[in-house]
Amino acid sequence: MMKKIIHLLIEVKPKSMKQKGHQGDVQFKELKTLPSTAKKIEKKPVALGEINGHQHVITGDYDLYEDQNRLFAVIGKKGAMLQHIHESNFRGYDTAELMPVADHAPATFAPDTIVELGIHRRYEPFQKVWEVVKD
Amino acid sequence: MITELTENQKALTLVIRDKWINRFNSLSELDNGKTVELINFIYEIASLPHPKIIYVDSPMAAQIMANDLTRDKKEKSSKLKFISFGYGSCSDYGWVSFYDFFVQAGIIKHEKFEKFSHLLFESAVYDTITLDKAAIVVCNPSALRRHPVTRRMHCTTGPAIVFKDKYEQYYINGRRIPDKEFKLALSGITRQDFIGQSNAEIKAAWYEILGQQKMMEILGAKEISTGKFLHSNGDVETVTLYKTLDVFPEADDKPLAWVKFMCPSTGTNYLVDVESHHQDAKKAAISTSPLFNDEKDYSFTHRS
Repeated sequence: MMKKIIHLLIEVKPKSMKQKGHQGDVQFKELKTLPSTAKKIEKKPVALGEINGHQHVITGDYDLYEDQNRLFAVIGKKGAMLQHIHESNFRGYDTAELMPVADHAPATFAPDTIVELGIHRRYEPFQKVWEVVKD
Repeated sequence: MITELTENQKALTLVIRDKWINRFNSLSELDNGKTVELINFIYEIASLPHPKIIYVDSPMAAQIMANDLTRDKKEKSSKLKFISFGYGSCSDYGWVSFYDFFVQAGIIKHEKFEKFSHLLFESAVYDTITLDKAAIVVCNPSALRRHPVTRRMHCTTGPAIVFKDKYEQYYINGRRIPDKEFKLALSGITRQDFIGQSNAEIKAAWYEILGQQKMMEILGAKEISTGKFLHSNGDVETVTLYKTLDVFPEADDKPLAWVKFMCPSTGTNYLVDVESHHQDAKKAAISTSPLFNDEKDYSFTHRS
């Protein structure tokens, strides 16, 4: 009985709870719709590390869109993952393969969802501007 | 087909796991005889003649040697090109230990794999670069320091890995830190160094090396408030707001302010700059988010 309840909970959870979270400096949240002005762009890493050759990259069934410095992933029927890997372990954007984890565990994006992604930011007190955190 | 492991097989998984982990952690001296057998066997599988075997003391020495052997003599540039490391090294321990379980459990039998696995274990080779006519073999490091809990490469007082030729690398919570930046922290950084450093990873390393108290002394800062977020995935995240006691003319005569976050994956603490008007650590933390702007929204289903 308990197994059955847990199974039901697992099945229900993704549908009732919007995906939102972070993988290191990269934050993400599920959206209902894609902004109408968003344009499809070539796939690229979401963020690149300056020192370690690490990158946050989405892999799997998805397309990438951009709209005024905002980044979106439209996830296809097979789902996708945000993976944190060393650049030397990158096996392509379309793969469903789990690549060796650099530091942060992968985040799974459910099929047929829209996800916005953004990079953690810091305030530069002398220039008085917000800028993305570099690592 | 086997669909479930027996209790004995489950126990064996741990034995095999520890066998390979302990082999690496022992940093054993390389066995020359077994190394020759291993390298020759790898070349036989690739249908290549046995290579000349060259022993070096570090991965950097291996790269220099491989560049020397492969560089076009007409080429003037002395810049090192990265040449991939090959099979027959400790980086094979992961996949080899996986199949070793099935061999030891009597589930599969594969003569070539068993020979490779045996020679890999006995030779204790750290790394290899396998060229057509030469194989460069790297000996194990002489010291390897890890975080006691996470087991990530980590040392706040010196290099986390040292090879016999003195080639060394610095790591904090598994992340490599440039030598210059690590040594700067040991020799004494100033508030200006910290403020002028734009890379969050380096600032986090300095924080780990110096510790909370020393870091606050250097920054001339004090704790203003602390707060906890309860995330949807059950995580409790603690954030702390700090501000300098001094004000800065170049910041419109205001103090500098930071929020301390802890990475849930590595345990590293990050001081992220925020606007100085904040009094509440949670509000200050949310202000650094590119996507979330209120506490109700700042509750994550995934954190890593």
